[in-house]
Amino acid sequence: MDPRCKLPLAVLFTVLFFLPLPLVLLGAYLGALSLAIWLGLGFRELVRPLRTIAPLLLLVLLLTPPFQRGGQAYLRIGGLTLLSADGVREAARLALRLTGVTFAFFVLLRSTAPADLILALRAFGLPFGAGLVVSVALQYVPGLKGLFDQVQDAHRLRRAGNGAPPARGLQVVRSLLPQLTSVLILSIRRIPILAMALEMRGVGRTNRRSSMRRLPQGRRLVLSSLAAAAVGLGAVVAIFLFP
Amino acid sequence: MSRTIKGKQRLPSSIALRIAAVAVLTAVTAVLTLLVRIPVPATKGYFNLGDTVIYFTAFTIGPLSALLSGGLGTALADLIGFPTFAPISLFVHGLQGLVAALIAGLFLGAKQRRRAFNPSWLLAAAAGTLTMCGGYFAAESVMLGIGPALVELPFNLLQNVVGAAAGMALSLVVRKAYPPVAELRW
Repeated sequence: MDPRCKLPLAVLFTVLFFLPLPLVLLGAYLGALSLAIWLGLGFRELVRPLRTIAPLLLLVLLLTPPFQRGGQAYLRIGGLTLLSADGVREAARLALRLTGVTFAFFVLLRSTAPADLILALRAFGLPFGAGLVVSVALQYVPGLKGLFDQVQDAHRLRRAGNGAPPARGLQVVRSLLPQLTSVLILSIRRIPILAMALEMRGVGRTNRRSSMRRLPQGRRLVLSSLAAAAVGLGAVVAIFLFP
Repeated sequence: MSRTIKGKQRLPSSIALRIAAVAVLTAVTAVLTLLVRIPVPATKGYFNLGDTVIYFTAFTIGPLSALLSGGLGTALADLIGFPTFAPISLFVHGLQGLVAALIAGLFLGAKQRRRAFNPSWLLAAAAGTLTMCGGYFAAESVMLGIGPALVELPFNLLQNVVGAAAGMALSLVVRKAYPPVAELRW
């Protein structure tokens, strides 16, 4: 599906998970998103985001009920209600919301190339400068990771054999400061060079300059738009079917 | 179109330079948020250094750079790990950088801003911490509920305090070691 159609769908599903809808309907939305990930990306990809948010889900399920004590009490210790009907309902709602929003973004990001996502955002009005910043930053991330590894290795070699015990806890931050200083200076020194490269391509000039490529138009976009409209309309119509 | 820094380095036009500065600082923020994880043995959790770069940018470069690179950098890092939090990070960390940078430059003139230590940094760090912790608490209360949001609050607070202290130290050291950085103020 075209990224310009996937983006509004992801936003729509995110909004739906924040609406005060019945739990059954939220579960149905989550089921639809899970099915999309399973069919489109495979079962293993369905487990990946779940594994990432598992600690947060556990926190939500454990800590929400004590703060929502209305309705029938299921577990009470010393006059304090720890588990009640309202608590269980709220915990389920928040767990569905967290999982649903994560799945909505996951399916968008896993099925779309970063460059196409930026182009889709450009189609929805993201300024050229902002799009350029994000795409250049994405290009620089692997290079800076390599730079950080190099600096770390160099500092490790300088420390080798001095017999100092390895830093622990917050001392690690202090021991990282010389490495961070090197990384920051080396990164900042790249700014004028990158700026010159951008200027060579016409950025910041009034005359004609190079621009980003455009996403394809035509039949594929029409079909994608129709499919996205059908899915979105179905999700909204379902709200009226489950009052 | 180009200008010279101390007769050594030619800098291109301001728009290209601003885009380049924000892009590089965004990438640095994303890398240090994502890759440098300091384990906390007591909680089995991790600290990241995203806040350190945000405060460094706020104290060294300026408000708009801190707003854009802080927000975009942490959001890019979140897109890889926790995509749900990317819009929250974009807004909250961007605001944190903007508030810290504005307060840091509020009380002193342009010449004084380049001095060694600026006492307004302490107030700026406190305001930035309040913005970040308050913003995350509000967002997590809606997203995860009040209980998990309360559990996360002390960790966010500690990470921010450590990040602000490290950001101040880095700003001082980098400005001393690489004076042309002062010309990048935006």
